[in-house]
Amino acid sequence: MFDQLFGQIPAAFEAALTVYNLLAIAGGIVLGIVIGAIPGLGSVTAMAVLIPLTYYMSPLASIAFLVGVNKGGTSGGAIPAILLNSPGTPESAATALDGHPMAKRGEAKRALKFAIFSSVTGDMISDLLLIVLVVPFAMIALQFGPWEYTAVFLFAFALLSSITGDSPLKGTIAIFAGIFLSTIGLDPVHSSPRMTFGQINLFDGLPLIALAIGGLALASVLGEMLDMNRAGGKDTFTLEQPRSGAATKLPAREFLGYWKTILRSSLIGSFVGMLPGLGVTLAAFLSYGAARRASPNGENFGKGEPEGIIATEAANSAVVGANLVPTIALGIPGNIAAALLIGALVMHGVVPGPFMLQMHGDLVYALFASMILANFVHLAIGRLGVNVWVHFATIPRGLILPPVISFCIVGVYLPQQSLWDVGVMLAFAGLGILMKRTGFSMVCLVIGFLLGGQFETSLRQTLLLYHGRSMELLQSPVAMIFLLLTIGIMVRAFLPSRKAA
Amino acid sequence: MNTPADPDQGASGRLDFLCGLVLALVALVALLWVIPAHVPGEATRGEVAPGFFPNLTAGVVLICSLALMAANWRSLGAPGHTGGLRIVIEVLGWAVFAIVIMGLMSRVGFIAASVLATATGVLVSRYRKRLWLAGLITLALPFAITQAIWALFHISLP
Repeated sequence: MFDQLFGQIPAAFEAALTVYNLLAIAGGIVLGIVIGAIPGLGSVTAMAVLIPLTYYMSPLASIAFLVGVNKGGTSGGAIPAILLNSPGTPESAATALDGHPMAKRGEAKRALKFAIFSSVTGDMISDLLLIVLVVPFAMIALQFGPWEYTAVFLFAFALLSSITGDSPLKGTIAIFAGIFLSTIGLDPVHSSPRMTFGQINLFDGLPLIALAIGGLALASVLGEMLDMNRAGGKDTFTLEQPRSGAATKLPAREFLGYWKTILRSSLIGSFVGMLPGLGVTLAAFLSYGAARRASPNGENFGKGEPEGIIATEAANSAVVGANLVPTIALGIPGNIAAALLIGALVMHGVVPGPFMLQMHGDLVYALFASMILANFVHLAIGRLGVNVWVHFATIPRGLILPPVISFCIVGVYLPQQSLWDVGVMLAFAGLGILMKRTGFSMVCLVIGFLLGGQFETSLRQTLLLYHGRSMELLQSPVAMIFLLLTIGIMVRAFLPSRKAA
Repeated sequence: MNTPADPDQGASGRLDFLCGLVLALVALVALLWVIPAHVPGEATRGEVAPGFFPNLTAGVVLICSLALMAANWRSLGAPGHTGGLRIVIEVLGWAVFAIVIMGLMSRVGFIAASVLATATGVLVSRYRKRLWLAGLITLALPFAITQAIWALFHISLP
């Protein structure tokens, strides 16, 4: 198993080390940092808006580009958190707790360096874990039949609904609404049209990219603009300008002195990233809490303690690599960024899942090599561009948000050159606003939509295979474990609301 | 994954009850009309009917919506959720905007739609500081995008 892995490494780096691929990675990281640095946008918005740029790239370059965007976007959120005390993304909220106090006492550059170094280190550890773990995971997944897959899907849905949104009930509704929407189009077995209303555009189902860009990126931007409207158009941030001098220096020895926090946070981020549904935000706050408890300077957390930045940034960046473990091994996205990556992979004719390693092994290993290279590129770009990224964080949102509507329209129109897709995007943007305002999770709906087809196939195959001998379902230990976990999660999720009632 | 805090998030029980009611009605329409009328074909021997899965998922949505209503039943008597009307106005406003944008895209073209979209965005954001810059972006961006798309992909936007 590992012979295959190590045998592929030289060829993978050869494929990844091309000027074209490196430019794609660098471009992705720059765009990711720039968009991530703008408060109100973030890595998911960045990925959703930039996916259309990958239509005409090779599969490797396009995925490497999007991985770069995700890495850059995740670390870019730290810039407004530190300089403006306005986290660009929810996951960088914990970075602001210590980053902004550091900036206020004139150590903004040092704080930004802590953030970028921790981000890259966490990312690297998580990428290495991904490379080591994905093959064994995929080997196990290859033994799964439809019943085991059905149980894994149910587990993922339960985990997702219990974590995201206002309540598990709303999460479950959003997931199953997404699965219901995925049934529109031709039936996978009979090829008969389902709920197409004679509309030929619906025969292939609803377009995933239009749904994701509308529901996630456009709805998020619209939500920001409406919130600005409520606030009277004010950006109430105060920029702490990075200064020069001794307070800007961060020697490598000092950074590495925090190796325990770096390692702990990277492992927390990686673990959270591997479980479907648990998001980057949870990883960041879990890691921040763990670092605070373990640190001898725990009482300084929240007052400008560098360990707070390290814990948050290492953990949230570690999610990026680790969430590809279930994505590649099982075809189940660890979070919404991974779901968008799946969308991009499918667009290029690559179906994620255990067979991906067999059918597209060269692409997967080249992707791993690209991710490792991306960390070095990320370090260089992030470190050299500190003074530049600051400016993006300070562009007024009233100027930067409205043009995103046009970018979304163009991005969705380009692949099929279809106004239908634009209409679907606009409709789901409206639904996204409605769901956000009423506490339903659009992320749940998009992941339900993405996995709906596979879930249906697994369930239908299970029903056919075990027709008339349902007791045999109990004989699969893997399925039983996942079903028990699912029941446990649901019981735990619903218990507090019962108590509250 | 959780979205940032927002005044309307964690909407009151009354709003949740209303959401449950609307979703239950939508699920019922799907179960009683949409699926029977628009999912053809019966189950053949040894096969699962094409309507099985849509019925199953709509059924789960119906049950969860009823549960949401039941969980918030007591909130019905409580004072109304102040954000409810604002949510309706925002969504209706977006619906009108989306229809106008689609109309412009299909009848006039991308440039007109993009100018209107950006200008509306600036107005909604209540951005008032550098209006000359906002105006410049509003007018120049659609032309820049059109030219860039043609130069990069040789695709002509509508």
